[in-house]
Amino acid sequence: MDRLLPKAALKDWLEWASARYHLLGPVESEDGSRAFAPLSQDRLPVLDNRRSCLPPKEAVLPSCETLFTFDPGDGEPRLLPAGGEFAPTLMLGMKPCDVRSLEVLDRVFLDGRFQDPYYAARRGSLVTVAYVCESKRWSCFCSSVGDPVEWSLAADVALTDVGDGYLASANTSAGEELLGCPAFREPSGDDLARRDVVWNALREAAEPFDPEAVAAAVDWEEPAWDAVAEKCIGCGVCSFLCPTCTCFDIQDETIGGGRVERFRVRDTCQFCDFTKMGHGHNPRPSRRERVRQRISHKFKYIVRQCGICGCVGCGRCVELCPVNADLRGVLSEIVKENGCESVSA
Amino acid sequence: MADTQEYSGTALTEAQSSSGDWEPRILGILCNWCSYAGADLAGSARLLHPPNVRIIRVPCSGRVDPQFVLKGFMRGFDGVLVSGCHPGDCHYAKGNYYARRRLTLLTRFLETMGIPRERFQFQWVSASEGARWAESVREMTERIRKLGPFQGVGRPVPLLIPVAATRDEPRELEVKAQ
Amino acid sequence: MNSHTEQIRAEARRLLESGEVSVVIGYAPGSTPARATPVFVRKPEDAERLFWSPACAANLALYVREQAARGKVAVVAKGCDARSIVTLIQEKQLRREDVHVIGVACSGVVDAGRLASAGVDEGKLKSLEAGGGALVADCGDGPAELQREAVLKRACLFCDTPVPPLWDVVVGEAAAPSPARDGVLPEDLDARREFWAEQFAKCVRCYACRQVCPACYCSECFTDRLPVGWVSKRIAGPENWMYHTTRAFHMAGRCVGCGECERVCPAGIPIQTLMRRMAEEVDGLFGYRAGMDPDAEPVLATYRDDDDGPAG
Repeated sequence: MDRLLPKAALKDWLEWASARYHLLGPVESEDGSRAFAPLSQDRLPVLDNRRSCLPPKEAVLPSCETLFTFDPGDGEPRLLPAGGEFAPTLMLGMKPCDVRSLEVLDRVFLDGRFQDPYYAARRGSLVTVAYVCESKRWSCFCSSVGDPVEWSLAADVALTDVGDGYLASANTSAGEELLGCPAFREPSGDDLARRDVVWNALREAAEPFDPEAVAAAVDWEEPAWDAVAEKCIGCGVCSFLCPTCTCFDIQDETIGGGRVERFRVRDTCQFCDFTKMGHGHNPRPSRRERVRQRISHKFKYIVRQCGICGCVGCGRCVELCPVNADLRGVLSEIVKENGCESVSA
Repeated sequence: MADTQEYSGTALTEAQSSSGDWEPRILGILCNWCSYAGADLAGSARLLHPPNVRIIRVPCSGRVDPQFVLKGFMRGFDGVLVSGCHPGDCHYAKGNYYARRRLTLLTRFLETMGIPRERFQFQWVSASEGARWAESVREMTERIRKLGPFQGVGRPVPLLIPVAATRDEPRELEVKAQ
Repeated sequence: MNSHTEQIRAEARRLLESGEVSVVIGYAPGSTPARATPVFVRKPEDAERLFWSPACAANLALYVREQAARGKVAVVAKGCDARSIVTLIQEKQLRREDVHVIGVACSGVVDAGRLASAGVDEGKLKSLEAGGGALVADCGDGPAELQREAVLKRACLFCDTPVPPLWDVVVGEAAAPSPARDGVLPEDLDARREFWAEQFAKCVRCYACRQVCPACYCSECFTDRLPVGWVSKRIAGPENWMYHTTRAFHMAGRCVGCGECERVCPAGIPIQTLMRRMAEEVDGLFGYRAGMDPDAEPVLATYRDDDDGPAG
């Protein structure tokens, strides 16, 4: 179902939606960066190709979240589970890579025998509205990893800028409900044609990238590991800001009055003590093993275990790496070494 | 506290006075040989002074890592007091000289963080100066009382997807008999 | 190719051919003209990979300590980077004879993360050069001068050591420094407390600031000492505050103001403001600036009988 939303009516749509949902969208911060934050009439979303610093995983997998609290009472100990019912939330302005990242997270947390109840509760309350980027940034490589248009169509609604309005495509019943707002009108043939232009441009990739081929190429012994490890500084930026990285740590802490809180926090395989064991041994003792782990996990292990490429080509790691250890270049090297098809770099 | 990322609680919340009015809570870090002995003397001499200073004993003021003071403010103390031997009298000869550099720097640095220097006191009290100890506690307690409670160092970070309703009943735990 | 690049390559070639050093740590061009990446050159013919431009933002002193343990190294160092090396020598982490400093007189380096807000499309950038004190970028429409305050690493605006205080060779000349004043911090104490509370609420505890700092070389950081519990692993306002203020204190008299911490922070926290204030207090109290004199005693590892302190 396709509808057109004139740009001037975006405010009206958000007003209408705010009666049904808690609204989140990309807003401009003081320093010009973008962040997903609650929207209001004074705080409207900015829809463009600049990506948010913190990826949408913050909403469904917060960087710090209480799992439960234990209260010893006075001889009557109680366990107080955290959370509860989550407010229905509309996350607007998710780029195709952002939408796809939720798909990857779902495979990790919702598939299989063990469902993560904390993730599931937040994810279940979320309705997504994608914004299809009108152009790619220099660091983006989404179209090398997959089809960003197809990714946006996995959102409840996908918005494309067609000039003086946004062409909205509803892909689920929740999406159709959203387009029931009177602010929308029928799109013209021109609108649909302009949308196709944007979509085709987005799909263009410098070189095709076959996730299966890369998964096959990535090897236990690669010269790339040493080359990257030499300059990698082991900070957590690539993984903390990666929309699909999921590692977390769980800690129990006393919070006074004999009470204990169990919480989980963001963690990264790049920290030196991530795999340190109780008896002192660390199977990933140096940067080399940790660099190998991250890239292998993202491009090989997840593909094998979950049937999906772990990377969505958002480019955050490329832009934010303090030493510009460009992942695309590393993958290029690896596939060239192994004689496979190259990656756009 | 599950719906924000605010620090879930401090160990100080239960230590309110019975009247329910706010009482200044001051962290005191005292060197064993001079100040702690001086405080002990104030006690055995029955010198009346307010109970608002919670004392931690360290071997020497040189042991005082500035992060002890920072942690005190982070945990919600309204004031922090560090007390050591007079220069030249340190039991370990020079510990207090290092402390002097560090903690004078800390006093200035606290102002960069927005913590007024009135909330941090760094002093020398010897083992025989029980009266001086009592007076410093009286003086600091009153000063902090006038300044009011410390407003804290951190701001809660609300979670993006808010909790609409908390679960109604906490689960009772079965306590197995030993 | 600019003359800085030529001179650095020539020096690297000479050092490697003679076997005087086992590795030259320098910069290679990065993914865009606004970025550079560290490179470890071990063969004379690979000296061609080295270059110099205003994109050379990283502080390469970070790698020196580990590399020098295996043999003498050469490192390309700006003023701030060389000060880091001096600090390492002062703290006995490095011997003077184990490092050959290829100093570069620098008028500031670009923080690529600031380009977008300055209206420069990094994807269209064809070249980025410094000449005569000006920064010139070509985004395909011909060269245009960039406003330094908008695109330089913020720490560069406060720099007072454009020429390395320690070098074996030095490349280029720099204009006399005219450091700006950091106006970010409010004057009122309560406003300051609020300011830092807001800034540290943004922190995600990725520890990039710590990892990129050449002075943070502890094998076990205080944040990792979980059994002691200096800082909880909790990512929340007060804990983030505790981490940053403690680190600022650990950097007292050791931070050289290279600004890498601030450049790499993904959350945009003005860490340099904190560090500079600490450095100003240290200078005011003890007349000491980090990384200027390899023979000076670290400022908090010593004392004077007449130091300021409490009365009595």
